[in-house]
Amino acid sequence: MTDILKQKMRSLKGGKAVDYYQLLDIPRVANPEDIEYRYHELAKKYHPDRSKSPDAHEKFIKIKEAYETLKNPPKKKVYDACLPPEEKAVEASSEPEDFEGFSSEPEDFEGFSSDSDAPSPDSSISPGPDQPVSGPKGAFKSTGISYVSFKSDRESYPSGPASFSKDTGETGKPERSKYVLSEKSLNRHDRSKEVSYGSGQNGSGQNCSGQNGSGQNSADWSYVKVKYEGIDEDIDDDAGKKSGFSAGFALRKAFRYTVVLICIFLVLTIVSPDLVGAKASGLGAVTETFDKVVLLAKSLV
Amino acid sequence: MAQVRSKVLGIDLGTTNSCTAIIELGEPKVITNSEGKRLIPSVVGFSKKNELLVGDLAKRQIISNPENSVQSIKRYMGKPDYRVPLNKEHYTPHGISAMILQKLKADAEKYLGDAVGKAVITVPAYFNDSQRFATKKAGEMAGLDVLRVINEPTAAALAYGLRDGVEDQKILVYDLGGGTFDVSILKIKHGVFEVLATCGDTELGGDDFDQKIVDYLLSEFKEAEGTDLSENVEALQRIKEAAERCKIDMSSLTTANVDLPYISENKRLDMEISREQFEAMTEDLVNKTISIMEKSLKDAGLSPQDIDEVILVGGSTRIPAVAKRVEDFMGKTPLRNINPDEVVAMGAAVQAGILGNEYLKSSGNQQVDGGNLVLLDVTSLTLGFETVGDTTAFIIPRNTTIPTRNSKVFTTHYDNQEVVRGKILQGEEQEASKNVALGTIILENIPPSLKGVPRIEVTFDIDANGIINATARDLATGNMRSVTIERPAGLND
Ligand SMILES: Nc1ncnc2c1ncn2[C@@H]1O[C@H](COP(=O)(O)OP(=O)(O)OP(=O)(O)O)[C@@H](O)[C@H]1O
Ligand SMILES: [Mg+2]
Repeated sequence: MTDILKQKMRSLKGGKAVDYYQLLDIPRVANPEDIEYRYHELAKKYHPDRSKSPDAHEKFIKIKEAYETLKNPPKKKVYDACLPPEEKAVEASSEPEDFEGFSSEPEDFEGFSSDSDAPSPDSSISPGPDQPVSGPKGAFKSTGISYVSFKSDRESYPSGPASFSKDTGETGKPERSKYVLSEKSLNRHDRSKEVSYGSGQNGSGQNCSGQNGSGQNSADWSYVKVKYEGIDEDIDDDAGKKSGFSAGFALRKAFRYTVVLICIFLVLTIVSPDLVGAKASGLGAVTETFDKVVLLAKSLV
Repeated sequence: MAQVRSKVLGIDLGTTNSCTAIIELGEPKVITNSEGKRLIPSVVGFSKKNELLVGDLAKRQIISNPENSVQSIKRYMGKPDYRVPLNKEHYTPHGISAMILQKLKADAEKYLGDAVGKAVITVPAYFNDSQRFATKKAGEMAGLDVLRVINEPTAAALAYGLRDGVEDQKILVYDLGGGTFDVSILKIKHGVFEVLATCGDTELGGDDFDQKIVDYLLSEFKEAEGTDLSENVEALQRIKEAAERCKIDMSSLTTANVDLPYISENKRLDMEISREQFEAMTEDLVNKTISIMEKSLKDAGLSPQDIDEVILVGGSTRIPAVAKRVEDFMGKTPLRNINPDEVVAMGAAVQAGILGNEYLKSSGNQQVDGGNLVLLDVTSLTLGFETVGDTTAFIIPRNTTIPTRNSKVFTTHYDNQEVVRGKILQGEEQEASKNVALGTIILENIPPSLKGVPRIEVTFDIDANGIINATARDLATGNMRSVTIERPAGLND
C-alpha cells in the first residue's frame, strides 16, 4: 500500500495528478482486458529493448507504474478515489508533464544546478560538470511514509584527500563527474573512529562490533563511484533559505499535508487494514504508519 | 526481407555443459562445434604439455590430470577472492569462463564462416548482481560484446513461446541443471513475455545429486575396506565420475553398478545402487526444489491449476523422480517435446533477435519482426537499504518488472547528525549483514536539526540491463548523492 500512498502524495504535492488512464490512453471505464492489452502494446513500443530512444527507460517506468496500479483492484479503487474529476484531468493532461513530453522538458530539472554552487563538504572534492538526474522532477518528490533511521555516525565520513581519488577511467565521459571513494580507507577509518549511537527505535545502543563486521564484509568492495550534485534553490544563500519559509510557503505546505493526510485516511477506510499492514514494509503496524505520517506532517508544517 | 542469419550469438554458459545458438531464417539454430557436438562440457584444463584444453578434451583428461583441470566453475562466479590454481597460475572464475566462451565463439565462427563479436549470455535467474557482472566480464574477456545477460528459465520460455499456438498461456519453467536450480512463471500474451515470479537456488543441481552417491560410496567403502578415500584426489575424481554415470544410468535402469578396480592400492570398489536407494538419498534435494516452486507460485499469486504448461529444462530433469514429483505437484504432465539441453541457448538467440529487431518466425509460421515481441523480466532479488540496528529497509521487492524505480524516505537518528550512510543491499534478509552489499551511499552536509526531522529520500533505479543506480537526496536542501554500483576489485582482474 505504501506505493500507492506515495504515488498519491506525490501527485497531490505536485499539484497535478498523473492520470494513468490518460497515460495509457484508455477510458476510465476500460475493463481489465483492455488495460492489459494497452499495456502490452505500449510495452512493445517503449520497453528499452524495443525503443532506442534515450527516454525509453523513463517512459516505460511510467507506463508500468500506471499498469501496476490499474491492474490491481484494491490499488485501482484507491487510485480512482483520489483521482480528480475527469474534466480536471483533461486539463492536467495538456500540461507538458504528460509522459509524451516530460523527459525533454528542461524545467524538469530546474531545481538542480552545477554542484559548484553547493558548499563543498570537503575541499578534496572538486566540483565537476553536473548532469541532471534522469527522470522527471516529480519522481524525486515521492515521499514514502516509511521512516527509518539511517545507520550513521559523525566520525566515519572521511576527510582528507587520501580518501578520494579521481576515477580516471570515467572522467573521459564529460557529462558525468564521478569520483572514486576508496571504500577500503573508509573502512579503516570506521574501525578506528567509529562511534556508535543508540537509536531511539531500536532501544539499546548497538556497538561497534556489528558495524565492524559489516565493514569487513564490504571491504571487498574496494571502489564506490560517487557523484556529487548540488541544488541551488535553498543552498546558495542563507537568505534564500529563510525566505523559503515565509508565511505563504508554510501555509501552502500545511495545506498540502492536510490534503495528504486526508488522502491517507481515505485510503485506510477503503482498504482493509491488514492489507495496509502487510504491504507497509519497514513499518510494523498501521498505527505506526499513522504516527509517522503525523510526525512527518508536523515536522513540515 | 530478413537477413538470413543474425550476427549475435545466444550462449548458454552452463555449470556442466555449454551451448550456442543463432537465429537463421527466423528461427533459433543450435551451432555444431568443431567436434561435431551441440553441447560442450564446461571444463577447462591444461595438458601435460601445457596446452589449453576446453570442452571434451579437457573433460577426458580430468582423471589423469586432476590438478590441471577445472569443472563446475560457474558455482564460483562473482566470488571476488576465489582463484583457481591451474598450470602454475591463478585464474579468476570469470577468467576460466572466458576460456569456455572463447572456444564457443571460435566454434561458432568456424560454423558460420564469419566473425561474430556479439552475444546474449544466460545466467541462472537467481544469480545476484556480482555473479551477473562476472558473467558479462567473462564475455568481454573472450572478445564478445555482451548485449544482454538474461535469465535461463526466461530464455527457455522465449524459445517455447515462438511455437505454434502459444498464445495467452501461463507457463512454469522448472530448470534443474548441473549446478543451479531456477523456477520462473511467465505469462505469454500478445507477444509479451511477462515474468510473473522467479525463484531459485544457485547451489542446487545435478552436482549435489552426484555428491549424495559419492558420500554413500565413500562411507560404504570405508566400512567394508577400512580405507578412507576422501583425501585421495585421484580416487575421488574417479568416484565422482562413476557416481555421475551411475546417476544417469539410473534414469533408465532400476539398478546401476559402480565398479572401480584398483581404487586404492589393490582394492576394488564394486557396488550396486538401486533407484530406490538413490531416490531416498536425494529426496531432500527434490523436496527443496518443490518448495521453491511452491514459493514462486505464491509470489505470482497463482495455484498449480492456473498454469497451462510446465516446461522442464536442464539435464537433471531427466531423473525420473524429479519429473514425477513435479508432475504430481503441478497436477499436469510436463511438456515432453522440448530439448532440455538446448532450449536455453535457443532462447538466448531469440532475445538477441529481439534486441537486433530481426525477423523471427513465430506462431502460425508467419514471419514477424522482433518488434512484435518483448520480454518483461523481473528482479529476482529484493533491493534494500541498510538502516540502524542492522535492519534492511526493502525498497524494490523481488519479482518487480524491470526497468523500475522506487524511493523511500529516511531520517537521522540523533540530533544534529550531519552525515548519513548506508549500504545498498541485495537479498531477502531482514538482517542487513546477511544480505549482499553492493555499495554504500553517503550523504553529508545535512543541516543541523533534531533527530527524525531531516528527510532523506533514497531512490533505486534498475534499468533493462539490470544495472542499479542509487541516489540519496536531502529533501530540505536538495543535496544529492548518486552511486553507480562499482564492483569489487577482485572481479576486475
Ligand atoms: N539422463 C540423465 N539423468 C540424470 N541426470 C542427468 C542426465 N543427463 C544429464 N544429467 C545431469 O544433468 C546435469 C547437467 O545438466 P545441464 O547440462 O542442463 O546443466 P547446465 O546447464 O550445465 O547447468 P546449470 O544450468 O546449472 O548451469 C548434470 O549434473 C548431469 O549429470
Ligand atoms: Mg542450464
